[in-house]
Amino acid sequence: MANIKIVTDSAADIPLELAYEMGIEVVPLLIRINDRIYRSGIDISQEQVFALQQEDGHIIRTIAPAPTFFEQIYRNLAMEYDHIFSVHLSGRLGGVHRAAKHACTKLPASLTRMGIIDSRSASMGLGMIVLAAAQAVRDGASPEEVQQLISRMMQHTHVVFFVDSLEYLEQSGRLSVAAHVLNSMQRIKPLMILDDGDIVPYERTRTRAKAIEGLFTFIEDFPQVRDVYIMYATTPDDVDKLVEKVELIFPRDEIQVGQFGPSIGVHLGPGAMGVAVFEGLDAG
Amino acid sequence: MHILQEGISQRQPIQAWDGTHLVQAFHAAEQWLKQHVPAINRLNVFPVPDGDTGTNMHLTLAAALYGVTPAASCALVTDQVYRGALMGARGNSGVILSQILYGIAQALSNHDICGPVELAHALSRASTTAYLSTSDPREGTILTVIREMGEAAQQALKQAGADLLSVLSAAVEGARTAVERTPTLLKVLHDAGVVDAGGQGLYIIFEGMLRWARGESLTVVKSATDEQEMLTPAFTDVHGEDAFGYCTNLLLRGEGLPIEGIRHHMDTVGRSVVVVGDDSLVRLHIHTLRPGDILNYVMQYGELLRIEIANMDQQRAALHQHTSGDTSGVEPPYRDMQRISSLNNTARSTGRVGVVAVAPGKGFAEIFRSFGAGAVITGGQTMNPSTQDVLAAIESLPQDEVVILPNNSNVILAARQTVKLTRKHVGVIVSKTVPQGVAAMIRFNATSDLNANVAAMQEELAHVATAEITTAVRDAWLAGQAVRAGQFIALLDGELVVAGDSVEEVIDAVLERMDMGKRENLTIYYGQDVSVQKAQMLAERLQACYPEHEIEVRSGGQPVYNYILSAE
Repeated sequence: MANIKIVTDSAADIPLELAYEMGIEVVPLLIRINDRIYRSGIDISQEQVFALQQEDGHIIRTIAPAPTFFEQIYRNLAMEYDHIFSVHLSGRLGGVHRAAKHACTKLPASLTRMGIIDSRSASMGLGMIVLAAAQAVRDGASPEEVQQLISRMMQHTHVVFFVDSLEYLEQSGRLSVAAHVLNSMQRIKPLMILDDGDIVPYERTRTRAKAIEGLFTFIEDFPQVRDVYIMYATTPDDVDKLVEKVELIFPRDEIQVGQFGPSIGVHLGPGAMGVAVFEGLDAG
Repeated sequence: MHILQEGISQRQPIQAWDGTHLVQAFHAAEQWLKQHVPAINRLNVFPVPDGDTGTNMHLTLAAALYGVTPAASCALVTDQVYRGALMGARGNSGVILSQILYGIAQALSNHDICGPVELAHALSRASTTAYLSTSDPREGTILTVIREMGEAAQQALKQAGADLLSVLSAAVEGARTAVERTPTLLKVLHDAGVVDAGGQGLYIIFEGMLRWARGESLTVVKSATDEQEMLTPAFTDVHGEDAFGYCTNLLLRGEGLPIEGIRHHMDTVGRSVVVVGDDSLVRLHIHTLRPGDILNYVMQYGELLRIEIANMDQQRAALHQHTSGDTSGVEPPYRDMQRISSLNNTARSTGRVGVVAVAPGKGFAEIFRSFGAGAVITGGQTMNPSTQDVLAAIESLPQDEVVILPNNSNVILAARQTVKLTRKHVGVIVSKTVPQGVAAMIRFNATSDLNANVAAMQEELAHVATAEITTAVRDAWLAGQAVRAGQFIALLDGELVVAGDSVEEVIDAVLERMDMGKRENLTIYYGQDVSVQKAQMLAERLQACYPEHEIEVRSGGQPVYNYILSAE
């Protein structure tokens, strides 16, 4: 049996205990707050990030880990594993995939079979892909099968989200492509989706109630749904409201819920919510 | 065009009109109507300063006649008139007028000459087309008036020796009595103490024709009695001895003034009663037929400091001068074409579906553009765009599928008219207020198709509550309470709901009716006459009252309405 390791980054929003249990290596993105740098989820929690965002005057940014950092990790893992699949945040939303790719070029070709993959997704969209890959590794899949699973998962995993204020996305520069459509004179709660790794406007709403309804409609519109993962920043009560709707079309005990980690939370800000949907591999 | 010459008054009545006569009759009607525009504008159900039925009907008729070339055949003339009216129609009453002209054109389509039989038939036909023009035909409106005109004309035709003049006068008489009865058919008119403005406009149009046919003067002699007749012809019928004559204002000073007792007494002797003050100073306002009795009554309590007694007719004349500034000089009728401004950035040419929005102010226009409206027509609240304006905006867009946001209940019909005038696919959203339009605009998605957009945008309207704050231009009644001219009033989704002496008081009261517990946000659009500082102060005050709500301040730039509030 091939010896395979799955690597991802903290933008996958996989809880650390779960990652550990599934044997997934999570590379933390770095969070710079004013002049100090923290490792996402290790030195700083999402609660701290959201709290700081609600105060004035803090400059909070994410930084991709340096290629040398990845190089170090890959070299260590290569001693133990024959194959590494390193699956990362969409290259259009951050530099982490580029850093990983760069690190890979510095490794001797003979070292290990490496696959550095741009998931074109984020948060639990990325998380679902990584978890499925890790499960496949546990189930004894071959490297080819894992590779194939990842690329098929990428086609059938979808992310929709909304933010309470466009402020944080604008500050982080993640809105460049969509900005001319979203940027407007009114305060809105825009629903956005990830489309081929880019943030794309999906629907504009004026209230949280309607934005939550929009998340539900997004799920409802799929002819079939295998997994639903609800993500939130600071509003667990709103998660309950969404769960109440979703349970009408999807078994309640299979609905998964998680919080945006610091890496994603920095860009979305307090009040954001999202949903990741996996249709199943046989979906049209 | 000066077709009407001084000499006509000497000639004999004509037994049947040919096309040239008909053109003259229409021009006479236009001339007569033009002089009645301010009076018709004031026949507003609510005392809001944007009454424009007279303006709309006149502009529609002027547009109808603008390009008409005198022809020998009535069929040719009425066809041109109808086409002009269809394009120039403004406001709901203008659209219905265009449909009345359509019925007349249909009836005369094979007739070179219009005699008594043709006229009666044309009016009956016009009644049918008018009723078909609206999905919700209501009695007590212009529809009742055209129907009863047709019936009166048919009746007159049965009389021995009926001729064109007798049929026309019967129709005009039918119109007059129908207009008088409108307040008995429509409660809002009754409550407001006015007759239906659209019906009155139609009556005036045909009265103008009749005066021309009789060779009578077409210049309105301004007299108080004329004007009162115009404004409240049905008032004596409806209110009987309740009718008022003098607006009486006085200031009473004394000690221990029984303010409640005075108010109670005033309620029994007059209308539009307002008694405010304290036990040492009372301000009183009342409409009464016997101002002397009022003075005698209050003199028993104290000393009169100020007395103003105005004949209601004079009050209206004064008001008229304040509000009728821009109703003259309307040619050419399409002068508003330049009001349509189109976006020249990429948002306009991308996407399958385009949007035409009507916006009553610069700020609103910017908002609609920022959400991707390709063409914005300014106007709406005080100047309803014509069908032609909307059509031009539709044609200015590159898309073949276009959504229209009329954003005013009086623009919806004109917008709907365009559906059959363009080869493009057009969907009209029934947005009756600008905030409804903004909410719908936010849902707009240029990349989905017309039907999906119309469904999504239409769905949005129900989630918005709109309050419009302005000042009353005349005294009125509101749920048994008197509203004085000059007081602030608020309309909630088009209905007058509160009145008060300060903006703050009125806004607080209207917000209480807006289900704020169920709302998440409140947007304050301030008008062109309100400073941003004032609006900000209002927002801060409201934020303290509604700490849970997101409150946003935007420049709407609208005339007339100090504030438009939107709660979602």
